[in-house]
Amino acid sequence: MAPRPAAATVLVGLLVIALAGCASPQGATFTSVRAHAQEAVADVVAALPDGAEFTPTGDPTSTACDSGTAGPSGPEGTAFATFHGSAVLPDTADTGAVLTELPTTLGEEWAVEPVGIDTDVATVRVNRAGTGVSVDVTEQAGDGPKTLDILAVSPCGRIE
Amino acid sequence: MLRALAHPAVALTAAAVLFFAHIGSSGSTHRSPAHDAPGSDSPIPVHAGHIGPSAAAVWWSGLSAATRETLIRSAPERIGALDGLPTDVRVAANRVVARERLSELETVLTTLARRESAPASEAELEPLRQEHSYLARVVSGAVKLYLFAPDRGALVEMTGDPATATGILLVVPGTNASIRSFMVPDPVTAFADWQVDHADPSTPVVAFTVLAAPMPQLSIDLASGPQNNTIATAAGASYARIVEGIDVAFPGLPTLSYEHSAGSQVGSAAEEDGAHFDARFLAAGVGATDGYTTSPGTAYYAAQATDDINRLYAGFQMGDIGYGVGPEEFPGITIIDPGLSDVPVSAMGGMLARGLTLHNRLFSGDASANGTVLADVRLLLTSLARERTG
Repeated sequence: MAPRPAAATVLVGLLVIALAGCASPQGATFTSVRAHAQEAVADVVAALPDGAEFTPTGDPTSTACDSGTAGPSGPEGTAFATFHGSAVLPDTADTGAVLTELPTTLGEEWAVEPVGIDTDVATVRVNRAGTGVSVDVTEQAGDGPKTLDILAVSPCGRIE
Repeated sequence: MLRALAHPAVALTAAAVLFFAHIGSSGSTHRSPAHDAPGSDSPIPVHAGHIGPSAAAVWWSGLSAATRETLIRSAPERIGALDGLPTDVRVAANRVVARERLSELETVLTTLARRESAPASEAELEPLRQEHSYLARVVSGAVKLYLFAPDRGALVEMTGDPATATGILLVVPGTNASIRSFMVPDPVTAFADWQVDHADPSTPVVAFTVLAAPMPQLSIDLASGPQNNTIATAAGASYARIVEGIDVAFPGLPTLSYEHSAGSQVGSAAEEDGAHFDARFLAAGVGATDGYTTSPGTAYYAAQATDDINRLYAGFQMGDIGYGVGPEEFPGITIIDPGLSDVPVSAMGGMLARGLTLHNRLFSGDASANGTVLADVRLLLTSLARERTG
């Protein structure tokens, strides 16, 4: 069937063009995106009720960006930062109210991002303008102290 | 049905390609799962694939510890593939299989290194070295294989602690996935790894990245490409058996199936073969073939960028070519904005490059690239676990 090879050539050609043109612009340095993420977590913790205690889950991680975001030279020499930890709230705190009021408490530099999942879990996703850092704050389950899970992720940055 | 397409020029090209393709071809490269056929003197009274996972679990629980150990040593391939057995048993058996394969690989690599006439090329050596490195990590325990059946194109890697898990994440890669996709520097397990590493500590997760059978590969031969729906459909039958085995191994835990691209047809076909999920997440998915109906008790989510390359043919099917039910056409499905707005249109590839980049991002474990969907799936896993535990 003659048209079939021709059609295949068209499709493969389009894909080759697509792959060859796959490139993303270089962005900020890893040092700066990491600092932004760290500051974001500090801001969120500071906005929690007095007496809240934050404990990181291990050390902050730096992970190589994948080939889809790292730019034409590939993922080598790029990384994004992840900060993860838990904040124990005072017994008197109303966890739901804390999360509801968090964006307002954080101030105008912060915006609420929509969460795509319809869930009963108390949660809020916020980002700080101009940094690209997104922070998820979620009520943890369990019978222990009232605790919030905090996860912040930076954009991809160049390692200098 | 043929949906309105976002980019008419490209859509026409895609439609032409589909029209000229081998309509109605059943020439799938898929090989049916090779059912194990132990000899009459086998100490294993069941054949992988020929007995239900529940019966296999009952049989295994009735064996002595010494017999179990003997079986793992003497028949690791069968034990490592027997659905219904506990994950630690399968991982132990597949570690034995990996050790044997590693030994073979070392012989091959040594032979190639000593060959003076026609020295091996880097292209020849690289995949062998990658496999060697991967299997060495399996043997060391750094990588856990729930299934290792390269002869039938199947591999399932497990991440996380099954003893503490409150939920199960199943990740199904799509087009171009292969055994080697687990062994390369940017492996298909990245999405699952991120979820396990960053799970809410109050709801830990165990994840399985599932290559149930050979997946479609982009190639000159359009009959073996992702547009041929029979390949992913066949993989769905294998996926259903794997899911049933995991359900038996983890009674009562909720399951979320995250399916990328052609992987969503694997999930859809698995449902038609009896698999049940608490939730399915179609990430830049192809959707399902004509006649598909959603399963009661399953929540459905779909995410794909406005310019995802998949939209060029979503909802189009003629026989074995295409997928008649687009992912966003599933009744009651929740459509999620993946938040992918920072991918520029490059000069060379233009819209197609952007569409492909957006498509691939939804399988990325890079939270700086796919952060919204990673976070939403993380939240969904937390939510499912809490619903189950009350």
